[in-house]
Amino acid sequence: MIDRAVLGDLDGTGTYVLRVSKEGFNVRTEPLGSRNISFDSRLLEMGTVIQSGLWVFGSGLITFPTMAYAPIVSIQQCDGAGQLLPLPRGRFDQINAHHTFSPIVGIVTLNTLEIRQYAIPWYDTGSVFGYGGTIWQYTIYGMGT
Amino acid sequence: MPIDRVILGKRGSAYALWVSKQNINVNTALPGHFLLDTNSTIHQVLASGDTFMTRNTGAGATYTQNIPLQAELASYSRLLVWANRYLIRYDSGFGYAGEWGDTDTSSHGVLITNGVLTLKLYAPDALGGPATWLDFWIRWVVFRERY
Repeated sequence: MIDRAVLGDLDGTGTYVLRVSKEGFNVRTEPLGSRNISFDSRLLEMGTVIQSGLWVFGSGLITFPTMAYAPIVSIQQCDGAGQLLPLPRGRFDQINAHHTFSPIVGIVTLNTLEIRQYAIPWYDTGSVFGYGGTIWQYTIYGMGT
Repeated sequence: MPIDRVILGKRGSAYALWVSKQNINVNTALPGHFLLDTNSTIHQVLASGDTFMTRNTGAGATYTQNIPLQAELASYSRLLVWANRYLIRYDSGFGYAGEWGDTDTSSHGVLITNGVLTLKLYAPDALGGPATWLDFWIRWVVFRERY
């Protein structure tokens, strides 16, 4: 058996916490910030994460466990080097070849997330920047109404 | 009638500490019904800040700031970051010096490598021209989640 919860002094140094680890991980030895810790009172809490990951644009729906409401979701583009590009608008140098960018939207149901480019049917689609094959980081939160 | 809201132990075949949201029975709660589920990641903030990037931009220039996070995070890369670029007009002659929204044609990127947060501001190229009379800032929040 390993320790999975501490309410009190974490390591004998006077660091008092409420801390809980995931199954299989020792709550006393996992470092600060470890993803194997499910709760740590030293950090600010933003809600539980239902699912997260990377997704390639155009590769179909993202599915997650069925929830009682459509959850809050965050998405942001990620380049091949791992750099997050929080506003999916593209670089201005790409506008030389593409006259405009249409917005990226996330459509959320009780158990699916669809990330797609907003259609502009009356526009010349050949000059709209296409996101096919680009990488996206997404997170589905246990928050919503 | 009171309902069960806390389980410390076994639920189905899994062991954890579960706390359900108000008015939801913890025994039958679905994903998203928990305030705390210790078999899930909880979205917690590791660090946050507000960083000055540059005053004005040159055409096509990239401005970089490297920010070391706390020492305990030195081994971490690709932690999730939310970042927002914003601009402040410093020329009071225009009669307005407040914060601007994201209305310019620059862009930005963020990446954590070995505990160092790198912020990049990409200025417009020659087509868009340099941005003047503007201070560029990036607000950022680092979460424990990794990608």
